[in-house]
Amino acid sequence: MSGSPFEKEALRDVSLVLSSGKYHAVAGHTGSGKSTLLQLFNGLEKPTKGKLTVGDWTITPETKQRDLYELRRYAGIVFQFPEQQLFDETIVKDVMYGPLNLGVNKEKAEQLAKDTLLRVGIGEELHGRSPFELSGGQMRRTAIAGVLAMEPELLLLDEPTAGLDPKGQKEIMELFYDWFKEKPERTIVLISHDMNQVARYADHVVVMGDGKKQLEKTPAELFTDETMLQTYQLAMPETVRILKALETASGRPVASDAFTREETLQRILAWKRGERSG
Amino acid sequence: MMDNIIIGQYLPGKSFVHSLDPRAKITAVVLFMVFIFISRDPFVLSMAVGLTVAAFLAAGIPPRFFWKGIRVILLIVLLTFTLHLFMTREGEVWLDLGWLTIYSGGVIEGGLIALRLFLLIVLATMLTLTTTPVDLTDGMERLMSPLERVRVPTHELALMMSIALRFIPTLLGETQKIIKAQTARGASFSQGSIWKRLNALIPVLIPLFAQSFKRAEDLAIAMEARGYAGGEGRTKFRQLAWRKRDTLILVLFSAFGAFSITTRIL
Repeated sequence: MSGSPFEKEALRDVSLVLSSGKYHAVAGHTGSGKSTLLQLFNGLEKPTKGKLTVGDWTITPETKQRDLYELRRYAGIVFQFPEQQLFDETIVKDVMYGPLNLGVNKEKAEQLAKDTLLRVGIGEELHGRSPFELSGGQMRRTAIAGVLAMEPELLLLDEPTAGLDPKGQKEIMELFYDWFKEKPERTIVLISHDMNQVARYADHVVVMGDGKKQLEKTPAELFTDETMLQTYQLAMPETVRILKALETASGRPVASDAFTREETLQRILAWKRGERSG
Repeated sequence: MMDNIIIGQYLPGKSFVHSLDPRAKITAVVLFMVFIFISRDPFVLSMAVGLTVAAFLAAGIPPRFFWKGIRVILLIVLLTFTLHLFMTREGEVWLDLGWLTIYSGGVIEGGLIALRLFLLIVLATMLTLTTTPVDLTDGMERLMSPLERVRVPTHELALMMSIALRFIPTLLGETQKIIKAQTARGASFSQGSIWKRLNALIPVLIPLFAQSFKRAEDLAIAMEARGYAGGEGRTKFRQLAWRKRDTLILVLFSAFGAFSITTRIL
């Protein structure tokens, strides 16, 4: 809305390199510019100043929408509440929409759609149904399939699990993680308020605030540093909190850089061994 | 383009026009609307131009913002002008190309209609730009209240209007979000034939309708759950206050109406 009284600068002076083949996470408060940043990566928003490079594309304020068309093949985005984009008569047709737009032929698109639907857990018996007959969770999966069927290399996720129950959240996050590990060049940029998810999956965390980059860390550096978490008002992951509590209660140091159940268990066992020997 | 439609938008401010009572503003616009189409007198028309310019200046709307918003509407004004230009067959012939003849009457008639339409749109836009939707519906409801005696459901009508106004920004925001989501899935709204472009809108319109119905249902349930029962015996939290300046505005626009009628009769 440039030129109108409602105009607002969402991002300023952000300089960032996100390497491909890695799982990146962006954390920060509402209005910190996370979503705008994400939409820059596949050309839905264009910078008003400066430039960015995504894959083989360079985007500047002068870039035409037409030139960004090919970029969508490379970078797919799953919005918050993606089920709001479903529209077609049947689930399969809806998932085929993306591939068909990219110029894939009909047979191939249908095959892609069916395979992707099965992978997100929508069984064959549902494929011919209307997307509006599905449950909320199934609609979310269908919408995600619609993005994955376009076979992107870079996947942008804007709070993909908002509004789901804990079990559903975990399933969706695991789905993305399996997809990510399948090929070495695949890259994810995740926006999430849930620090458990960020700590569990990301290799690299960017903290945003007031439209600026506040810091860049690995989860191990960020989430074990209580003062840093407090400064940026980020929650401590549950696994770290348990280990920190153990440390306080026992009075003996515990390594708290654990973000999965297995890692946490290992740290506790190591602590127990230390108790025996010490 | 969607960002540039300012009809129905409210722009917060503290100007003279912002501070007027909505009843005064609505009545003024209605008077203006009726009487500008009655008279062809140059004095009355220049008075109309004066009133519109004064209203614009007193409302303190940034000119650039206003210009961007009104551009699309100017197209409609231009279209009206062109139609009158070609359709009116009065006065002297000014241009004759065989297949196309332009009469002096056409130019005058077209110009007159275009000017009236333009002034009316500007003034009506001033009304919505300086009045909150709540004030607007409160004002409407009060002005319509005499109709209650003949069983017109004035409160319900006002409520319908305020709900509709309330959801304009929501719908615009939602439309933009869905357009973005479908663009990300490779949709293109600016390429190909007209037929192709119209087809490209289907994936935007269907989710929009689906969500609107769902929201309407949710809203109805929420209102019933809180025991909403309509207008009868309901008091208002926000009271409208009529001040001297409102009377002044009313006198000014009534005077305009009076002049307009006088030129017509004499």
